[in-house]
Amino acid sequence: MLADAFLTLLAPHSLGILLAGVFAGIIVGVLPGITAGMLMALTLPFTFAMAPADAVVLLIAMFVGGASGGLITATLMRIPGEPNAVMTCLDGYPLARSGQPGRALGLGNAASIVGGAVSWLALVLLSEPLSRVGVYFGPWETFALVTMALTLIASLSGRSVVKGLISGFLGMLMSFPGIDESSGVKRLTFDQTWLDAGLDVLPVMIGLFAVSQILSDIVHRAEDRSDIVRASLKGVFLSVRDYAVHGWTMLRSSLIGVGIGILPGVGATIASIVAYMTAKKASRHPERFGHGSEEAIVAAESANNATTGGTLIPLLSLGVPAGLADSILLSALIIHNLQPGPMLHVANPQIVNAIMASHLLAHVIMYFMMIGGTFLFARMMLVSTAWIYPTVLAISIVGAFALNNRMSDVWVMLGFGVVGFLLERGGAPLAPFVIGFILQPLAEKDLRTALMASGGSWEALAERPVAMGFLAVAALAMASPLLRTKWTKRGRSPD
Amino acid sequence: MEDERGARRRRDAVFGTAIVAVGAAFLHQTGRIRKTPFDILGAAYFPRVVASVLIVLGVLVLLGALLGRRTRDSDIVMFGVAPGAPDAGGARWALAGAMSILTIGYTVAIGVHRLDFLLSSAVYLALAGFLLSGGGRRAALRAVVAGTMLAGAITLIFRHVLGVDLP
Repeated sequence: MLADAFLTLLAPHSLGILLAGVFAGIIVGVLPGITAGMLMALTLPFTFAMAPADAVVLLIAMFVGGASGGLITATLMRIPGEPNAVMTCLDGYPLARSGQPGRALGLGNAASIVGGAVSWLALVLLSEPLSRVGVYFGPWETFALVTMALTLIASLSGRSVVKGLISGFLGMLMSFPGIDESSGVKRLTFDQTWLDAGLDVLPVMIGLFAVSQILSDIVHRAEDRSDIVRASLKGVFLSVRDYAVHGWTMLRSSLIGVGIGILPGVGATIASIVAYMTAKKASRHPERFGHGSEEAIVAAESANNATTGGTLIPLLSLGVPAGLADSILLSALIIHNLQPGPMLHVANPQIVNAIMASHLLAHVIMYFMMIGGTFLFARMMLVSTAWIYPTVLAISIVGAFALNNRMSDVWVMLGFGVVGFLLERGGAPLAPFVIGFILQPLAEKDLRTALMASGGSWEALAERPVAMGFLAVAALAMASPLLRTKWTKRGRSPD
Repeated sequence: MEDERGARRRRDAVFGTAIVAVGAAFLHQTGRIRKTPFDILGAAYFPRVVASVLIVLGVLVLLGALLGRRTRDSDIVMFGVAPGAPDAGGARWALAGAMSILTIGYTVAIGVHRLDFLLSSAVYLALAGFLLSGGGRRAALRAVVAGTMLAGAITLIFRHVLGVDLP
């Protein structure tokens, strides 16, 4: 039961894990050049020795903490510590500069917990019924669902569907080397014995999340410490009137965040942009947006945190990750021999409840920690990336090695760091790569099972309306740039 | 403006060619996968489809670059730096190169030559910190102190607290 999960999490051991996870998440949100996804990927190898529930609780706490920590740098430094805090910079910083840093942080923090609470409610209400639908999915439906998820991620992660698809297909291709599970045949190992066991997901993830980001940051970004606003706690607690004034904006933006969070590949950054633009359109004072508008801060931060629950819904109910943090959680479940997807609710309800309970508790802890630790976190923003980057690289090497105690994993990790960097240089998003790498075995296994059952005939697919529906959505996603261009042209034409 | 467009087209051409090459290498390898009589699809089917689609997509990017219709970049900022964002300058490329060499050297030292982890890490962290902080006499002293402390902290936390086997 969910209530039992809450009680379990309040025990000192679990509470300690939650506190540590949220604290670490906020810190990476504050520290320049390091993200929550990176922290989660780096932590994954060290969760092997933990109980599965403890591991997922720790990762969820980091996820929530990371989603919130970016608020501090966005408000006091005009730098989004996490990409999803980019819209908060536009108004949080001007409000802080006008002498109200406490008020700016308070508004963002309150909006974050409201967004988190709304998304938790959606998670609890939607994931179980959706998983009951998922239980009836056969191999055709699962194959079509994975295809749809991958195509949506490829088309929504960037403006170029072609490059998104390249990233996804490349990720799929990289998951092939090794022994084929169905036939026991060795494939695509290029005569390299170290590839016989295949590429482990963890070194690939650490390389893509940590190494490629550091390389990219060194090339693109110089440190900027100008115009830092001093932290203050004055006005950090909102009054009941404040909640009444901003309540509707918080709720509307939270619902936007939940809805966008469910969609594969879109994520918190887009959610906060959509919520910000919606709030601006609905506002009586749109001219204040970009100049320290309270509504703007509330909209961006509610939507940002609301994606944390939304993104967990497809993961828990269908086993399909909607984003990068989810793909790490999915890996954690697989590593701990838990079957992600609809059967998780049936076979391991305690894990599902632990995820749900930790999601809400992490938000509550985050709220108080962000207030209590404001001055500490404000000091941490000043740590130079000159110390952060080498330390993260050293820990990445330790993490990749710790997986199997072999150096080949370290080389794989460094190699995929370069692959990720080159993909981003080429203009291809990384999210489809990760999802393709993780979901390919599932897609292949289900397609082979389906074709085995139908005697090799693809006609059986036409008799499965749900699977056909998923494939139709996938086709629509792939055709979306063409349709968009046509609509734009029609809109511009004089007729 | 024209230069920038040309650079982007060149980048797309290189990207498309690299993707075609990777797809072709994997497609060629699928021919070496042993066939099994009891499996309808066979172990080569899926990789062959994926590699073929990848080649087609790579050709699309390449053609776009050659014909002057550059495909658009991802506009999602994943890591806080927009993909394809203008570089901060040649010096930063040199810095990235130096960091890469240093990191590979560190990995070889601890993984291949089995040098002491604590000592190797202290040297690596100090050198990398010195490089990234821009150099100078004060930075050198700070790098030695910080490198030693960080290496000690990593060793303490991972080896002694978490019980992880270090390289």
